[in-house]
Amino acid sequence: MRSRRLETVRLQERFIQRAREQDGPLLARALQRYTDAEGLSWADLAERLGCTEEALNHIALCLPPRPERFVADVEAIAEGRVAIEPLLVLLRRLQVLKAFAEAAEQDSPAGSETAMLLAARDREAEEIEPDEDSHV
Amino acid sequence: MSDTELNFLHRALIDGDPVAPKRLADAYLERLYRIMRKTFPFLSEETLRDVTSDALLALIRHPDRYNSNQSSLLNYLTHIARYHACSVLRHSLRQQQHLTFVGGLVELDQMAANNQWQLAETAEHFADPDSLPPEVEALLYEILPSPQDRQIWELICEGRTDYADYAAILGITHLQGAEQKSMVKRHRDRVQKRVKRQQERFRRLLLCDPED
Repeated sequence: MRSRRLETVRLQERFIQRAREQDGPLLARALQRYTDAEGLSWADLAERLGCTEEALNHIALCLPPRPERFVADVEAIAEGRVAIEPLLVLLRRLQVLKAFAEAAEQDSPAGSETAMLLAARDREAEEIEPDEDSHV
Repeated sequence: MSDTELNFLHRALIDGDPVAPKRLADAYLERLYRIMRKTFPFLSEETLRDVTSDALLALIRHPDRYNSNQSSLLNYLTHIARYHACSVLRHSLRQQQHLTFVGGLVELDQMAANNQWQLAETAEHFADPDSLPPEVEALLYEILPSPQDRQIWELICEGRTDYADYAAILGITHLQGAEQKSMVKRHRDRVQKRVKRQQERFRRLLLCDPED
């Protein structure tokens, strides 16, 4: 039984790893790019959110919150595993970074990664307040 | 999970429900992995984990490409995972310079060249995803003619490690702990070795290589 559980854990970990490596809609990829840009490890990010790595893995397997129901979606993603407030701030930040990257992509496809990095650094200096209304 | 629940989950994925991918992984990851391990017993666990993960990620990336009128979600995922596994096999065979581009493999190549996801749309041609392709099943019967050995192989594929499960099949539940464990281990190893010894034939069958 123990070895089967171990196998399941390995499978889940690999799934998350693949999601972090591949371009796709999951938060896993966005979080990976964010930690890369910020020079953080996965454990560091979990610590910043005040949650376990397991909880962060759960978040990574979710899609980004929909703009039209941002707060409700963040609450669903948090699912009691992580405090809403820091998650809301982080996901709002990722949303802004994505917009930056997309804008840069339109201007120059090669510049999107650079724009993402620059935007990530800019975010460090300014705090993004969670928005009650949640509409973007 | 019922069909209705699965259709609901698929709809949630299309609608961008943020927790839908997580629920999808909870529902299918392990199940798909077991099917792949049964179909491709000679591939490494690492490779099987990769092809399973990639199949799920493909669905998450393009949920609109799945048509519930054509096949079940598990069937669709199995088809994508098999495609990925065959790609791994082809790559490995090319490296060994043993590959002959004939038959089904050429077809697979042509389809992949057009659009690999078109291949997935033909998923309805696959029967129950839990069952092996008939030619693979036949080879397994040849390698393991004893029904008892095939049952042991099933347990291995399911990742079962409880000695009691194997002892029940072997009819040795009456034996004492150490003796029972030793006998289970011997039979388990023997069955695994017999299958692994035939891995080249499995490869050829799965890639439709007629040199077999």
